Amino acid sequence: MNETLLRAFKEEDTDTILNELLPLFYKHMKGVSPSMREEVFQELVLTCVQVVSKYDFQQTHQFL
Amino acid sequence: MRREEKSKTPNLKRQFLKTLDHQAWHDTYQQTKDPILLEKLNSAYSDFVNYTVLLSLIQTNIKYKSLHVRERLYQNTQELVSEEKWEYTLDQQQSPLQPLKIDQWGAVLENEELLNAVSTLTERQQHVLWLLFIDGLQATEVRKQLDVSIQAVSKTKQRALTKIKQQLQEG
Repeated sequence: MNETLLRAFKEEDTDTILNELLPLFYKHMKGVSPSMREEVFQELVLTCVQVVSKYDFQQTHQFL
Repeated sequence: MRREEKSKTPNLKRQFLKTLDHQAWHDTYQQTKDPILLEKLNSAYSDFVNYTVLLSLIQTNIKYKSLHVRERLYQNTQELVSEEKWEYTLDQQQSPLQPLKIDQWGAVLENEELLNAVSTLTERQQHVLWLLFIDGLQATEVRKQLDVSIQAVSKTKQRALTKIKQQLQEG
């Protein structure tokens, strides 16, 4: 578990989340032509921010 | 709890216990039944589940968004290429008509902004608009006159009108 990402999720620190997830974005941009790269990247960033903002990270789960 | 969630939970708990700290807390709790340790364990488990679920949601959404955006951009590119091809085909074909002079437009258009916008069109675009709107020909007749397909006439007209609209909006 990436502790920096976990902390960022908890604090909804979007900049850190996006920074930590850059490898994921790049992975899904493989093969995209240079002229389209920026547009695709922005769409992925927006999707990520939307998913994070909708998720309630405060919900609890009982282990025992 | 849904069946899907039920099947995931033991797997998540197993994964959670793979971390040495968590395994140690769990073992100690089993021996001591310390409520503070239980709270710590549940808190760490909540973080673990939320982290895993959220990351999985992000990964899935990113994957499908990437496919969707690529497909949309590819379609847009194909449409642009297709329009360029029509325009090129039209430009390559010989027409018996003489090039239009902007003076000819000046005789029928009083609006100076519109006249300026028309002057930015290619010769072919001007011809098609002239035949359609000034001579009042049907697209099929324009097609015959220019000896091109009906789609080529339609595309050229569409592009010409879009260009005029843009020029007027910018002006």
